[in-house]
Amino acid sequence: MSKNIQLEASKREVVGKEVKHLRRSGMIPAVLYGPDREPLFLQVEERALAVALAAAGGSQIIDLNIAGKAHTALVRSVQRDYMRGNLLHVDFYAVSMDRVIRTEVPLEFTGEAPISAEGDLVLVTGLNSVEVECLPGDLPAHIQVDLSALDSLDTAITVADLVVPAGVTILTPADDMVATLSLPERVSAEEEEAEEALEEVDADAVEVVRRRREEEEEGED
Amino acid sequence: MQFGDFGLQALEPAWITSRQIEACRRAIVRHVRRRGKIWIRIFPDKPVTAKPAETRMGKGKGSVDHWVAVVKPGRVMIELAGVPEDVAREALRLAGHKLPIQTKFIKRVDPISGEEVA
Repeated sequence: MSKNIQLEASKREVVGKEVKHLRRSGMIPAVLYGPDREPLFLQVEERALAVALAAAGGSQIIDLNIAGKAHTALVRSVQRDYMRGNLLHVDFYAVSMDRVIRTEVPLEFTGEAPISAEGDLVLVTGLNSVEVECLPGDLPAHIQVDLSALDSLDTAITVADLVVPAGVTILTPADDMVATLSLPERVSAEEEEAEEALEEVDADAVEVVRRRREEEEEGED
Repeated sequence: MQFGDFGLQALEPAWITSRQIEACRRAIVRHVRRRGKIWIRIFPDKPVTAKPAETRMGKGKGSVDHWVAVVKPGRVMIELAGVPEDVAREALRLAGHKLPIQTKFIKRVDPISGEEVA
């Protein structure tokens, strides 16, 4: 039995703006495409899709069961509502197990930088994923980044420092920064003084302009 | 979200002035103090002109009065990293009050699974 994540999908006849009716009924529009095949419009039950996406991410193969036939696919792109985060559309990329593919694999940060305990340094991550090329069977779920290598403020972990399993090639440029330590936002001395002066102001001591005018008017009378 | 773990997202369209951006930055820096790192993802690159007060119409266009950043709904305007969630939430709440629009506190999520990464 396959250990891939299973997902039921059905063919979709509704296209264009009408898919909003599908979404209201709890089905999410999707598409399956890949080399040497025609794109296939699909619809997937929202709850099952959310569970499959959470389990698979973008680097685990999903077995899409469409009308009794299984298709191996990777999630290539997910569109979400920017306000609510609801699923709008999903792209599946059909893969062949004997054909090399290119995809993004997320980075997992482990360990702690020894220097970060010494001061108020902030860990800055440059990349959250790297593009790799490999056979679908060799695709790792994530690539680990060991932060304990960050032993000074000048050091940075780059793509060249990442360790990947055999058969996997990283395509992201080797000198791209993955993680480094940075100094936090500094408050300048002038800004600090101005803020302190602001805090020292006693609201009761502030003269109300309206009251002075009234006094002047009374004096004139 | 591109850089930080927490962000302030615009829910309405607006022109955000350079003064409002600076007020946000100061509010955040003042709250997080020496901790954390801030990214301001909007830049006021649009000049706005205005005529002087009590001037009759005509006589040409007014001079540049201030600069604004054009913000549309969904734009992540400020990102923050290196602070606990409660500190980031309060700092961005204070920053949001310096802006003329409704804003939302967001956390970094995986683009595929939608699960929180921060």
